[in-house]
Amino acid sequence: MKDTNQTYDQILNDLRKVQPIPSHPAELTRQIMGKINVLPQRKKAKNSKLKLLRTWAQIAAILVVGILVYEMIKPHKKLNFSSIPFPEAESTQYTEAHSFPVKEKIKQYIIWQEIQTEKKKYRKELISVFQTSNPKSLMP
Amino acid sequence: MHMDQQEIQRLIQQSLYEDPQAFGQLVVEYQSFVFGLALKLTCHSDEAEDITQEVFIRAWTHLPQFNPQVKFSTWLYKITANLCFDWLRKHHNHPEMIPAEKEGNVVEYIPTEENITNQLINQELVEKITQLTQELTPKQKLIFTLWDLEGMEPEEIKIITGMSSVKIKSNLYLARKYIRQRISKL
Repeated sequence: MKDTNQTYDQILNDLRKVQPIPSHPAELTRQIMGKINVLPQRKKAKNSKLKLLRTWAQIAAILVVGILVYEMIKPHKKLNFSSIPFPEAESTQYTEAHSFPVKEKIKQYIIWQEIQTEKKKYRKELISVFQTSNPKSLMP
Repeated sequence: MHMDQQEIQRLIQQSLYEDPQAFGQLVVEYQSFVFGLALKLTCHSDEAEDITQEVFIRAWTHLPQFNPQVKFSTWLYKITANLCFDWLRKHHNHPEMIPAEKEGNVVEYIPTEENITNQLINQELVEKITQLTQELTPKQKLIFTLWDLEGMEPEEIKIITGMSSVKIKSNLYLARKYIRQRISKL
C-alpha cells in the first residue's frame, strides 16, 4: 500500500511538472484572432437611463396592482340602517304650506282671460286708429 | 504568469471597448494554460486546440458578463472545463467517436525543433494520463485533473465546476481510489 501511495505521488509530481504547450502557439493565436475579427460587434450595454425608467415603471405597476388587490379584499364599513329615521310621517302629512287650492287657481285663470280680452280689444282699437290716420301705409 | 493583475484588468477593459489588439495579448498570455487543461482532460491534442479556440471566442463574446471579482484565469478555466466536460460526456460512452489525431499538422506548417519537442512532450503526457484515467467518469476526471494535476484550491474548483464540496470530495476519492488500483496493477 505504501509503495502504491509513493508511486502515486511520484507519478503526480512528474505529471505536474509537465506543462503542455500547443505545437504551433503562434498559429493558434492567429487562428483565434482571425475568428474573433470576423465576429459581429458585441451588443452594447443598454442605456442606464432606460434601465432606471424600466425599474420605476415596474415599481409603479406593482403599486397599482397592490392597491387594486387591497381595494378588492379590504373590509367595508357596515351601515346601521336602524339608526336612520325613516321620513314616512313627514311625506304623507298634508300641510297648508304645500297645498295647492283649486278654487284660487280657477279665479286666477278667469282674471288672466279677462286681461287677455282687454288686450285684444285695445290692440284692435289701436290698429283702426292707425288705419284712419294714415291709410297709405298699409297699401302694398 | 508574466502579467500582473493590474495589466490584465487594463487589457480586459480595453477588450470591452472592442479592442482586439488588447484581447490578443490576453490570448497569448493564457492560451497555453487553457490548452494544457483541455489536453489533460480530452487527451487529444487536436480537440484541445479546437476547444482552446472556442474558449477564447466565448470569452470575447461574453466578456461584458465577466465578473471582475473573480480572477480572469478562473473564468477562462470555467469555460474550458464546461466545454471539456461536454466533450467527455459525449465521448465517454462512445469512445469510437473520438476522431483520430490529424497527421497533417506536421505537414501543414514547417515544423521547427521546438514544435516537434512540444508535440513529443504532449504525446507522452497524454499517454500517461490516458493510462491512469481512461475508466474515470467525466466528473471524476474533471475533479482529479483540477485538484491533483493542476493543483487548484478547493474554492476555485467549486467556482469552476459549480459542484458542492461534498460532491467534489467524493468524486476525488473515487478517482484516486481507481488510479491507485491502476498503479498497483501496472
